[in-house]
Amino acid sequence: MFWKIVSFEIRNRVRRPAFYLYFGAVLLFTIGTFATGGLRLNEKEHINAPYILALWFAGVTLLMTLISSSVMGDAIYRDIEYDTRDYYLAYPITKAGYFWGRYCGSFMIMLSIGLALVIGAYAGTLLGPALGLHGPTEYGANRLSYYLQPFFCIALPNLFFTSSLFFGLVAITQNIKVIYSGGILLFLGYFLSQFFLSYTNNEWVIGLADPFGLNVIRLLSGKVNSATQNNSLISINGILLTNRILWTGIGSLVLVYSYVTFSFERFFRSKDKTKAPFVPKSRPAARPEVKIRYDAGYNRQALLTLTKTELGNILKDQYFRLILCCGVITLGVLFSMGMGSNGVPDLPRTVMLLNDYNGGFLFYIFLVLLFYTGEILHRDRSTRFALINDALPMPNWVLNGSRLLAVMVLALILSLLPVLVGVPVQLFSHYHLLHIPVYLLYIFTLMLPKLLEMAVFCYFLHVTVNHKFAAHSLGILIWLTIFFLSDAGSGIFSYNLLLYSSVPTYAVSDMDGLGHMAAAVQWFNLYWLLFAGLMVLISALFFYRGVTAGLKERWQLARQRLDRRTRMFGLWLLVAFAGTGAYIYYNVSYLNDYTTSGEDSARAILYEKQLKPYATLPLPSITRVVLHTDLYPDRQAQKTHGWVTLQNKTRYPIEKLLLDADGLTDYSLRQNGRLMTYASPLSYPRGRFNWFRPQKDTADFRLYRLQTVLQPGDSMVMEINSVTRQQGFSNTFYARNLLRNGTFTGSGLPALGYDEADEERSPRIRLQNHLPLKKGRVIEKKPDLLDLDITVSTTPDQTAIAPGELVRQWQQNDRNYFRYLHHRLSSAIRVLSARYAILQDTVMLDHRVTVRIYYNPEHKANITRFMAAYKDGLRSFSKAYGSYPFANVSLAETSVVGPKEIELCTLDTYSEQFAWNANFNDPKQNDYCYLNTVRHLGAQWWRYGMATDQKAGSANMIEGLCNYGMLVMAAQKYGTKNIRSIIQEQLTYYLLVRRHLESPEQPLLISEEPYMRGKAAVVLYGLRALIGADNLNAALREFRSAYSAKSDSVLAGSDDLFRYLRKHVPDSLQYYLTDSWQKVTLYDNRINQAQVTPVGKNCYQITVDLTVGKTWTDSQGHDHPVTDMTDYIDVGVFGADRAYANGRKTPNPLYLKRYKLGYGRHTLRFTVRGKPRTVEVDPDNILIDRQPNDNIKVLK
Amino acid sequence: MQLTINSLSKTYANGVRALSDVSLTIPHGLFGLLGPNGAGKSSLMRTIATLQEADSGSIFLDGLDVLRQKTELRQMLGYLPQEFGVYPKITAERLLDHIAQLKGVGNPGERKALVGYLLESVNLAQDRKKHLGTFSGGMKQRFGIAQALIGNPKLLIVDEPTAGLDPAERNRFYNLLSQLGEQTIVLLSTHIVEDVSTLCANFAIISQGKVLYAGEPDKAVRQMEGTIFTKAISRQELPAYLDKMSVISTQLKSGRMHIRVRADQAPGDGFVSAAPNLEDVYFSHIVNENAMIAT
Repeated sequence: MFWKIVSFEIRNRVRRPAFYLYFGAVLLFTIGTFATGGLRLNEKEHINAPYILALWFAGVTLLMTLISSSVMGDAIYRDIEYDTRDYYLAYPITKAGYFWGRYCGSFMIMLSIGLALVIGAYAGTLLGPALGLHGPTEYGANRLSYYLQPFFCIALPNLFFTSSLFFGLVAITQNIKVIYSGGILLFLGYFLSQFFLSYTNNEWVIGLADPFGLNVIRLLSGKVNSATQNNSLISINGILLTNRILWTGIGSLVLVYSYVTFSFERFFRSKDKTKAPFVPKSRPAARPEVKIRYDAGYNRQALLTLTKTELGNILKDQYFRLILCCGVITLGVLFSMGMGSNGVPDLPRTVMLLNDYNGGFLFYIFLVLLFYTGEILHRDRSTRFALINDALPMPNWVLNGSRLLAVMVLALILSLLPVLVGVPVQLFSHYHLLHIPVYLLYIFTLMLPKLLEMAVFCYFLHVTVNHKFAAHSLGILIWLTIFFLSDAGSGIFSYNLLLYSSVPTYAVSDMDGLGHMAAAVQWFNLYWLLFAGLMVLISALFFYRGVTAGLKERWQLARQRLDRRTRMFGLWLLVAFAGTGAYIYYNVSYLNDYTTSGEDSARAILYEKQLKPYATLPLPSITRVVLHTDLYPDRQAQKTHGWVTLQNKTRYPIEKLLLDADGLTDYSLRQNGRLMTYASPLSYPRGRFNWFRPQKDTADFRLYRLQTVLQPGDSMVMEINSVTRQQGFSNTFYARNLLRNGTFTGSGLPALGYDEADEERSPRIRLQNHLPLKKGRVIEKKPDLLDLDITVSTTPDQTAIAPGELVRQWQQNDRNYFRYLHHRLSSAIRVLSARYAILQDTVMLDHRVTVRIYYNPEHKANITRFMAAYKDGLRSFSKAYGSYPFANVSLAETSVVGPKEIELCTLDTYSEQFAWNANFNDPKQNDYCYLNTVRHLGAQWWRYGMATDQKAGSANMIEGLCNYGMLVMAAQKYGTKNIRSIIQEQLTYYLLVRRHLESPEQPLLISEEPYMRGKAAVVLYGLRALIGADNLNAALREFRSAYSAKSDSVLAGSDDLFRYLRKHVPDSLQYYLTDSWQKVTLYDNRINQAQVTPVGKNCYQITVDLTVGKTWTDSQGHDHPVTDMTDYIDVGVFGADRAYANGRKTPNPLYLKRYKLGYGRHTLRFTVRGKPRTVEVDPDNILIDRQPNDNIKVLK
Repeated sequence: MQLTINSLSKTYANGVRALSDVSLTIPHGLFGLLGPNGAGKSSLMRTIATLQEADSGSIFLDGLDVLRQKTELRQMLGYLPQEFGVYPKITAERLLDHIAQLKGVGNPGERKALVGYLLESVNLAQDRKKHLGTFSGGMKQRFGIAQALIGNPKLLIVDEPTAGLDPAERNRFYNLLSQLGEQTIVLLSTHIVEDVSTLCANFAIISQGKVLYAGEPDKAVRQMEGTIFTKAISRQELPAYLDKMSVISTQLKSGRMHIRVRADQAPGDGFVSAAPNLEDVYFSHIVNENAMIAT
């Protein structure tokens, strides 16, 4: 019997088109991915590396949840829906036969669909090289085991888990909607767990929380290099094995539980069989007279009652309530945890909540709308109420309209979630800047249009496809495809005019609201709403009333319905849609220049091929800049008039200059009052969609010929007029630097010379275009050392900021003017303008220093922390490193649009989402506002207060010195014993990256890899611990004063710093300096065992067994143990942490001693007073240890 | 008032020919549509009830083109489908009220009175506050009857209305229908011959999508007078009789098998003449049709 049911099930499935649809979708999706190689993280990985296969199998089986819900859910539900249960009574069927037969049959089908993964991946790896998408070298060997191992270890358990879950749920509840809720809950759970996981570093938690194993695979891939990923199977042990066992186990449990509770009798007993007793009745009174009207009022009433009933059906549905509830909880958690930095959450600002909602949560909304639109449209038919309802006299538009209206009201309810969830979360966290108008504006102008477009899309799909599950699958497929193509996904094709419901990207900020992007977004919204109108019209034509019928009949009906009025209406809609589209096109593809990411690459290639020869042109240096720049934030414009002094510091005469407009709309140059002429050396082919732009779009580059050749040593003055303005709007976020409130832009000068940073980076594209592969990283061109005299004007309500000292500020012609001067500026010139509030203070050092905090008046939570940081830092650093080189320093807030933090000469900027709104609510949190600000302050000495070279190692030296200063300040603030976590933080990234390097690590002295920065800071801090603060400060002071004149010819590099350090380090400690700067050294210290024996009152003797180890890694990446080492290493015993009055805890050393220890095992013995809790080797973590966690032993 | 069906045909996408050139004229009063399961009764009724399109042919209710002026027809229609569902989470009263509103009863007070009256008439007054999901088959059927009667329909179509009703309920329903038949066209489908003979002034026999007979029950029975003969036989003899005679029905009576045959003259051989009834009319048409298909 079992086998009969299995084979019946399989035969039944194979006959249905859904099976082929699912199989085909997985197959095509997989072939596409492996033919185009879209999954690789780096170019050294094979497209078909076994690790990649494992990752893909895990990811797709996650998506296949949708398929398994439909296939497995249907297995039992079919008998309920079609009432075929009764027939089974006629057969000698056992419970086990029925249950397991159905399960196995359907699961076989799931496995067959899953096989498409293997077939598709294999076919893709053959197809990729065959079609010339990738060279054969980018694929590795196609071993069968590379496919089968991940299939059996990853895909199979995943499919088993979801299949068992859904089959079990339906068997237990006998309700199909449990699948929707199950599916959505799984999605939400996944979404939430990913969110929570970003808060933890515990690998086991991360690895086990994910039923599909994606996290584990990513985790394991991160630990091995490309060669391993390419040539070996992912090993199934440890976390991965546990994960597989855990989730397979949970799947089995659900299945077994549902089998045990599955009652055959209950299942087969039809509810309709009970007869109600006949109730004798009295003769009814006379039939009441009623008036029957079918006028306009009737239609309105009918629409209302139908919509209400429809909504009632949904709102009363317990599964809907469950789904909604979980959505609300998810959103609540998301909102209340919020974003944050350095373990400190941000205040729940309204705009932040809104930006949260606009992310992955929209998928949830889409799923809810899709599923319940299906319910609304199919409920009457599946319950057979349609036979009554559809013969009632309301006109089609009323019946059709009521359903659409119900879906739209549902969309409205869902769009209100941010305010319904956000406001309570804010109130609950005692945050009272609710900004209800911002909520409403956002909901009604941004979210509601989007959700209505979703609703109509779902509606259209369900009406036209007219098959519930097919429409669900198709809807999700289309929506994912749109997401994938759009800017939010891969961005490979982001032309918003062609991607349904897409609008230009935007951000909502406290400073600027939606800003100037509002217009563009609303045009696109209008465009898509009109398109949605057309979809509604088509739905109305194909809307089926009555009993399900074939295509022919629906076609016949549609033709009947397309009467004159409908045609006219449709025509109007079409004209409005086309008109809006044309206007958008005019803006996006005529006034502005839309290019796909592919075209961008092609342009970069062209740039490199045509202009690279100019890279060798000798470049003059800018020595002085006098600028008048006028900002017009309300219309995204900037006008600049300036005089730039150029000096030829090269040995060659300069005849030609290559200039890059770099975003300027237009500019002109004058030399000696005469307009300079230029040639345009590069033009790009027209963008694919910009049919009406010129055939050749002149690129932003000009080649100027100087009127008189600039001889070596000579100078010249160039007068510049430039203007930046925005015409119309573009396809994506435009004029990001010229916001209405929060402008953060450049000086209005064109860039000088060929810029290597504009070249195409992708090795694949470079190879395809026969360009040499790039080695190393592009080193940013260092700004010239120049004297700046800049006058910025802006609107009367705003304050403008530029680097340098504010020497004058005045009003003129209803505008605000600010003049800043800077002698020997060595950073880029940036200009800011916003409606700032200002906190100002001065510090008296050897000269007076003004500190200003420019902030959005609402964001004052942490301004005193910034101020304290500057004041403390200025005092400490000037004492340690020598005089502060400038007269002022400022911190300014920027909008969310800009970068998180920027460091300029005398000016730092933090974006709205960083630090300003940190919500310090736990004394354990480190004050990163303070620490990060002192870190930047250090740069005023090391980066801007002296002249450094651009050799390898310099960048890390500067960063290291800044971070070192931060560590010193942290120790000063929290105590030297209390900053272990801050020191470890510096090393976390270094230790993580070095574990899977593609090329061996280089010594700090010559490495230009940014991941070494934290290491540089820690080795300086460690040196301080060894030689003392005074010694180190003396070295740093000497080093700095040697270079603080900022001469063009005497530049400081890492080897110079090393020289000065060496001078101040006694011979006995020179090993440390060599180890940390000239070699790659790692310690392997650990405590093996520790014993405590009480000796007398409150006295304890402790015996420690510890191992000391140190290795040098050579240039080939091989480790060599340093067996002849004898290094200074601290060993300490700690009691229970002491708590400060403010609640912060601090370590409590009972014993601390610096030992000189050799390689290998040691036993130490000492007596302490007070109850010991831990024994630690190198307790401050100042030695770079491969595995810092084993340096501590907790005593029992 | 009169419903005229002219050469109505319908073939489903799977090739089943549900209606084949159906022509009928249905005057007001009760009209019975008699036929075996799958004869096309429901298809015909659904087509008249605007729930389904026809391939060809026409239906007119007096001057009203039923296939095109659907909304107008629906305004005059009361329809009780054969198998229908309800919203499980809604009370009988609420759903009837909802339907009454959709049937144009705009005044809430009037609607309440009407719903009360109808619930009383179908014996659901006590269950009016219950969710429909808890109703038994019979209760649901009575609910269906109530909703069909809302708004004084000019055309009442009831598809197998007595299925699921117990005998007492069936009687009450017949009374209700015959009252209504005085002012409206009532089109009733059934496979129970007795329903037609007790209720209908006119009827049609329909099988395999074709109209086999249309007329008045009395007249049809009268036409058969003198052609029906009966005999008690043993079970083994039946095949022989089936071969040589036009057997229209068999019946078991106290263990013996009685066959009824149709013949123009008395066949002798122990057959005795019997008074024809509507069942004979029905079966003889159905048997003929099947025989024709068999040959």
